[in-house]
Amino acid sequence: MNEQQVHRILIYDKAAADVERLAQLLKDSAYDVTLLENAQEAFQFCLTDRPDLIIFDIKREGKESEDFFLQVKNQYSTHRIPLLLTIVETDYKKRVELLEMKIDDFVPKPYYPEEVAARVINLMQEFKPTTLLPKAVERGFWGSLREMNLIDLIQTMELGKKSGIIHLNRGDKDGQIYVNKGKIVNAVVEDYDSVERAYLHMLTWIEGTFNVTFQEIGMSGPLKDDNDSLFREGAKVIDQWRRVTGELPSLHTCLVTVSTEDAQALSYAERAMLSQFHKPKNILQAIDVSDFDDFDGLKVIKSLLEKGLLIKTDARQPNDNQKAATFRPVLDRAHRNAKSPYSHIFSIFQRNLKSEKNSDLQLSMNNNEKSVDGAMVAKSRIANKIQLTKAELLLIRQKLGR
Amino acid sequence: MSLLTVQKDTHRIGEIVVAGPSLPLQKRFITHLCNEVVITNNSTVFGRSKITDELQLFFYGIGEKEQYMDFAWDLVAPKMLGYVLVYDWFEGNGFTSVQQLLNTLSRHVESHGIVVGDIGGMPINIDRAVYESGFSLSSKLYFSLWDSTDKTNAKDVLKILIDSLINHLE
Repeated sequence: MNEQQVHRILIYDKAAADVERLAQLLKDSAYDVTLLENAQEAFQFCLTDRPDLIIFDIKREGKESEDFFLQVKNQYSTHRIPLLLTIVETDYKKRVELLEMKIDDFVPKPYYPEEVAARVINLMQEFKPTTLLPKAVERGFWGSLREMNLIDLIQTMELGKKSGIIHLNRGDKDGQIYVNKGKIVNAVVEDYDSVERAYLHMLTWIEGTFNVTFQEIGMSGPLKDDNDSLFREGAKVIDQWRRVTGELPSLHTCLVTVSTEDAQALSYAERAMLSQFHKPKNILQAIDVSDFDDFDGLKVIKSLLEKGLLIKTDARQPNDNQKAATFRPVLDRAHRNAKSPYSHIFSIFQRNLKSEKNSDLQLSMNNNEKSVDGAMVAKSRIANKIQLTKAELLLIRQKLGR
Repeated sequence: MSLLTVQKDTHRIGEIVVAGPSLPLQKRFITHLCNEVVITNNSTVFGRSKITDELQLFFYGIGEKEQYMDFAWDLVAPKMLGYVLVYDWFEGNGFTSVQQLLNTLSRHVESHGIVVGDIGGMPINIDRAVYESGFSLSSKLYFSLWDSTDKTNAKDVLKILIDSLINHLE
């Protein structure tokens, strides 16, 4: 899609009169809209004019719409056109089946044309950058290592047998884990020449950010055939690291030596570490430039703090923030471009309540009532009926064991 | 790609929502119970556990606070079996988030639920019975502890929820 180009949207609906308002809204948003009622004509239009997005409807009765969808899907299996489905179908299983067939978004009927128009704009924005960027950043996700640590990320990739690169940023340092079909094949971080040591080192990055990009990884030969041992070892490292760091100030805290008078009474390791703090340095940096491994370094620093030979200082290393600042736009860009292959599944459970005002499906809202966190709450509760029989529940209970 | 395959011969599904302030915790909870788990968009987890060829449990894990309000409660709530709210027992803000979510939820839906505090393998001097049977906060709401480092412990939490449903039907 070209930035200057007017985007073409095809609306295929057997009841064209029902979608005229939607078509008008999209035209008002500067889209070139074609409205067709006949499946064959619609498919012909796809072949000759190749729309940038298709909105279509699948009726409960008749197979024309489904045939049209399958034709489009087959025709554009490699160069996909975003597909937005509007459907009356209320059966959950049917919805999931449809969404699994690579439909990009889904709007239940009856809908408000404004909502569909908003979703079209979102879809257009989602698809636009992916055609301009290299394949590596087409899909992925990002976030904070506080929310998902390295083990969580690798487990996530293992579950789906995914390939890609996990980029980690600790604030002052970057690293990458290469995953091939769910198995770690390489780990790269500055100053660590061994894959295993680099992996273990990055496990200690419990603060910072990550950015996962899904892509083919050509390397072969996993670090370990079985990820379980890596996870067990990793969980232990993270747990120990949390325990040790819990007894220390933030690892980004700058420390400085206050006195070296008693240095003779110190161990060799303590003297070596103390020498790192003649100029203010944060804990992570001091360990990085020392000859200690991460845990030994932390223990020595803890000992020096307890002996009062190191104190906190307000001095800052501009480098940290600069690096974080340069990484942030990369993450932001990745976030904007990220489109998980599963994201469409979530859309069936996601509603924009703001756009559903007055809808039949909308919860009864009372504008004067607010919950503790300020979110709007429903005035009336949704009645719930236990859908399974007692026998079925007992079966589940039996399966769970005593 | 069929990551959450819906089998056509499956007739009965029990749906359980797993919510809380930390998606990784919910993911772990669902992973311990399900043989098939899908992470979507870094904000939702789907899991499926087969009980028999005809009966399955579906788990929907929703993460961030914004998701609670956008979640289609009106679609899921009327037929869900119940909900599980998980949070980190040692995280002060975790409980506050759960409290807010519970307030919101209790106004939205009439359903059975259980609040579980994850102790993450840390030794804690609380009677083992709390893990095994929890204690009731109301006729439909229970509290229990959960050890996310013990893969079998999530089943104990689920048992409490299922037991409360069975008791309700008796």
